[in-house]
Amino acid sequence: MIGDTEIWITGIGAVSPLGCGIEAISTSVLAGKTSIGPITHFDTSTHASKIASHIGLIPDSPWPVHPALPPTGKLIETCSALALDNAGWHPASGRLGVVLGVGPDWMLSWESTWGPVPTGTLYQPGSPFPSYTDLLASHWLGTMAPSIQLSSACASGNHALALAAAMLKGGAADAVLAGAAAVNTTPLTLAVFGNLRATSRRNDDPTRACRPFDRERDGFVMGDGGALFVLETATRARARGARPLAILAGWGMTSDAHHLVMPSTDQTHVVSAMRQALERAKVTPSEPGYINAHAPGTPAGDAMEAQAIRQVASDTGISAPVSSTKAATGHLLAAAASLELAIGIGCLERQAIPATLNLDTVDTSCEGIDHVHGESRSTPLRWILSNAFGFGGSNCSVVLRLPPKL
Amino acid sequence: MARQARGTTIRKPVVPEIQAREWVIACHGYAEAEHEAIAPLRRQFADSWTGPGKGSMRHMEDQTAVALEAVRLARLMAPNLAFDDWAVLACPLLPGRTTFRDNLKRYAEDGAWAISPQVIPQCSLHSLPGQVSIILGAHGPNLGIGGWPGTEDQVWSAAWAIDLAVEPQGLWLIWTGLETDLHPGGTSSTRLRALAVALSRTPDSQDLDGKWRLAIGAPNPADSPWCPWKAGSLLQDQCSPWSATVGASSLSLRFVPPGQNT
Repeated sequence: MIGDTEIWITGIGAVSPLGCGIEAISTSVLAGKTSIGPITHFDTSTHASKIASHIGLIPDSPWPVHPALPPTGKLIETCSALALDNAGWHPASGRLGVVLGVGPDWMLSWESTWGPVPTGTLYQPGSPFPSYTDLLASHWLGTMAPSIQLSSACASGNHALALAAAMLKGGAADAVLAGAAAVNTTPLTLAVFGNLRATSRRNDDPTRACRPFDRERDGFVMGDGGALFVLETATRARARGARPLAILAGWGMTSDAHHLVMPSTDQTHVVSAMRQALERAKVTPSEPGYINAHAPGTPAGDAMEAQAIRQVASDTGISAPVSSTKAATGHLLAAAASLELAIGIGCLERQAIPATLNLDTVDTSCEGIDHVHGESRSTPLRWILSNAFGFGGSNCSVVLRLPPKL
Repeated sequence: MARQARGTTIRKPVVPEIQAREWVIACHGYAEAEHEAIAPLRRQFADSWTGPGKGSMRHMEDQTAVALEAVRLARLMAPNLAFDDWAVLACPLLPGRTTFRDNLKRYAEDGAWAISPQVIPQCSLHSLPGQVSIILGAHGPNLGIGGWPGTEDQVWSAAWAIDLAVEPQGLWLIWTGLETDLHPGGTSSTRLRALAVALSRTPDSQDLDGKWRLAIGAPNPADSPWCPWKAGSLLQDQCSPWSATVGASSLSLRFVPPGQNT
């Protein structure tokens, strides 16, 4: 059993088409802006879905790791540098672990080399490129702490933070760089999700295409971006004078064990993940909070989550306003949870909850929860719960708490 | 932050008190298959499956099929073990090579509509552990770990961290690999292999007769590097303790044969 050691988030490096840095991204999300638009960087004429939140130019990292990284690698590189800089961390500060959530990166590497839109020269046959964790570890860390690259599909970012917390509490690292970032908007990824009928086909109205919980929702819209975080124990962070941006207070993780793609109609295991996170964080019904829903705008996924949130409120007495930020950012797949946690930290800082964009009429299957729609809501916040559910039936919920003022 | 990542003298860290974790190796299985044998294996698993997703299973990735065979063989050692709250951690190496190679070609020839919707659900790092969790009815976390050659040892760091994070009743750890990478323009067939190891908790009352134990704890610099394929034969043949480092990290593994102390 791990003890009650408090885990602080002391650095964030977040990049999205909405902006670079938590300040810019939170401002845009709370103002109701969206970065979703037509895809113009490759030919979408044969695609069912032709829209996305595409990042375009990725900001350069002040400390490049490798000169020939493909887009996802470059984004990870930039987010890492921003996070470490934000935390004031340098190699002499101690042993830095890495937990990185990833998508199908070796596929994207191939697509970079042989695909319809060559973007990099990273992968060479017979000479597999090192994993991103290896790259980061060798560049930043000279590490004596564990590196883990993981995937639970769209729940990867939350799992990365939970494992990072365990790594710290178990004594294997002094700080951990954790999170996920991805450039998903590639021809093949778009084609796969389009043919799976998971993405919105509202191509003529991109900014209103992603409609979480809405009666007219018809699928998600793909997005690029991500966030990496620096996590430390409170004791160690205090000792080096680092300030907390949030407390990573709780996590819960389960599997549906039902179907590789479809969410289970039985919410038991989603409810269990949310309850584990709330209980671990010792959230009480009287504390004001916010639930950042996974809700990508798919008919089955949104309905399942709304029902699970209602069930958690019924079981625990803990309820809170709910919104999904995917209509603003797009769905970042493996990196979705990380960017949403970064936005959640922005919400805690500003004591405000962003609205679910395009939620004009709540679908009957999604009723019974306090939807924030129309415009963002200013309200006292002590905690946020961020849900993330992925292919393979993975469920991971994380609770962040407002940090102490130092 | 100054740019000082390379060439900086790193302060010698305070030796931490690393929390050790220990399990019993409940069962283990190893499977190999030529590429040509995968299709029948895949059909065999799909045909015998009675739960949801039977159609989806017909598209399972090559390494997933071999992993399921390793898990099936392992379960023969412990037929009465249930896995309700177990976690599944799996490290397939570069999954989806053949599917992705074929789909790149199709996209070039026929455009987006020709792409299989199964590519990402079946061929990603998360696909194999997801499928195993479905087959086992395991509701603990399921995670793909590593994925690139050279990341196999990350499974141990993840197992240690998951055990600390949520204390599942047990963990399935799975490694799979291709003998040769299948890049576009290269060879189109290769041999596949999989090792599956089930680690269960060690309550004081548990009968440890005939069981290997495994501990993860503080590092021992004298240890040799971990190799899943070496460990597969180790569990079959060797009867003395064996330990290994987890990459360049601060963790170490120790395998203890039946009847011996850690």
